[in-house]
Amino acid sequence: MVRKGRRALTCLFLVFLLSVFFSLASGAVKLSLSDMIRIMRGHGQSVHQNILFHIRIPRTAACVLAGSGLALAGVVIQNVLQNPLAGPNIIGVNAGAGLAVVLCSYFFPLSYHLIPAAAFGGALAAVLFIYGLARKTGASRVTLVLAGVSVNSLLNAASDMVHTFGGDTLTSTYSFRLGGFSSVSVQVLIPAGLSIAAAMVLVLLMGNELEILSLGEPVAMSLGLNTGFFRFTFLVLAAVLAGAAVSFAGLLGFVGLIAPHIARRIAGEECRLLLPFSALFGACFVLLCDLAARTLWAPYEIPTGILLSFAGAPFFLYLLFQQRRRRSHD
Amino acid sequence: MIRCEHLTAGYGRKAIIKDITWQTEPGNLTVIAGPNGSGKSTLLKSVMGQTRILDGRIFLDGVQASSWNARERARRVAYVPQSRSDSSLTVARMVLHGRFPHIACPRHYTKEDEDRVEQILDRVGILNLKNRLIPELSGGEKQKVYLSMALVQDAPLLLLDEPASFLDISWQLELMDLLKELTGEGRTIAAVLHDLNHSLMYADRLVIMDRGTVAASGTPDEILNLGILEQVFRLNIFSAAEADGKKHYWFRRQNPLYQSP
Repeated sequence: MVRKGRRALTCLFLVFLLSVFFSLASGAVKLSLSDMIRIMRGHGQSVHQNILFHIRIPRTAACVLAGSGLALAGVVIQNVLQNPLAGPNIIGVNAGAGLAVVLCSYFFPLSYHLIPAAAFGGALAAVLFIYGLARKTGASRVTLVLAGVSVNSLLNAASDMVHTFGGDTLTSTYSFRLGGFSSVSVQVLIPAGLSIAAAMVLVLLMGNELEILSLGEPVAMSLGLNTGFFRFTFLVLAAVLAGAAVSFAGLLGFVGLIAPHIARRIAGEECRLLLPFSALFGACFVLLCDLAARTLWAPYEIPTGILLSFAGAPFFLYLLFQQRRRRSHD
Repeated sequence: MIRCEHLTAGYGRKAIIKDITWQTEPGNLTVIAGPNGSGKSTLLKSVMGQTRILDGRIFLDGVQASSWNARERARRVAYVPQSRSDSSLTVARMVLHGRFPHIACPRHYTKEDEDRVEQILDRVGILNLKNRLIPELSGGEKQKVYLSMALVQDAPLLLLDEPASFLDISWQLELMDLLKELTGEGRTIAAVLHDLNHSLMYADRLVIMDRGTVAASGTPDEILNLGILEQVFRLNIFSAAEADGKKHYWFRRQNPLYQSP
């Protein structure tokens, strides 16, 4: 399993490099590898330089950061809640971040730098609320997901209400609610990207702890893990990852659910492979969906979130039915 | 060594065990027995810090248990809980986590840890399963994996909550022999067991619990002489000895609800 996972991780890394290349190269103006090398050496045309440095690189970086951040948030939330159906978009974490971003944009329309912090706060409040609910009521896995869906709906309704009464706020654009990268702002991307990178490093370093936490409270405690501390720490890191991604990519659906599930099937449950595989898969998935969203219907561009949902929703249904089938076999 | 003094503990504000005073003897196998709901598992969980202590104190190696941090406690006591959620890890990886209390920064398992896992898997007889995924195993095999994980912890104290559940009779006997072997090597073991015959045959000491309290404790002979098992379980106990003097026990209900014609 480990050898198979390592091979798969290497293959995925190659796919990732290719996805990054095509994301940088494709669009209204095509750039070849030699064009890019020339631009990097400072010899290219100024139009090409502008396209590469001001449009393609920020957009590609945004796709990589959002995809990997949401995917890792998904793994963390699923392991901490021991619930394979949990994901940042299912249990309201993305919606919490979204509401906080909408409120922040409404009350402080010019404070771009506050957006990542607000998104983190919203995501954290949502994830802690769901976690508290699960602990307090001892809710089953299904109840927890249903509670998350309700919280998700409530938070989205609150966002819509702000939109309705708030008029044109910064985030009231169609693409923010669907999730997309057409209006990525570098001012938001840099602090959010740094937050995602830092949280990602911490999660990768604490893979053993995350794996032990997924064995359940009695076993984890008997192995000497301070479960209260690590559970809280991981949920904070998941909120940073998901919140920061939502702050510049909007309410992207399903990446946080699909990527961990596919990664678990291919790379197994060991966090040393599962975490990098999920992050890379999330990055590739978002990069390729974004590439399709802006090139397939050119000169029109559709929000990336629409394509992600088209791919993600059937997969979620498949998961639900497969789990049901497995339970009926037990 | 574990020592409980007037321990009252439970979940939330509800006390499940009341005024328990009990201690393990070094190098002994102590079996905790009692009817369902008598607080046996709660007693073990309390030692592991997994219940709410409402009154009394627990000492671990002479020091109050609450003053050990989680990792220090795990180096002293290994615990196999009764209920746990299945993970999809491989057997080797799962058992390797038993070394978690011993790893230092940067918190990676070493070759020595992996070698220790192989030794224990071999001793428990599941080395051939090391690359299998946990969900693919039978209930008994899973039980052996959890026991191996506790043994890899190399803690002098071992607490086992119904370790024989899911095991076939042959492996139950193998398990009891293994526990005796471990106590022979100096480990102290406290196990919750439902099989009274095995309890009486293998235990150095028995703790009989009833409705959250310790009804009696002592050697199997002392317990039998007290007649406490008959009272607590409402049984009649019969025994027969082999040529080497080894006793076997069987039981009949007092006033059975249903009598065969």
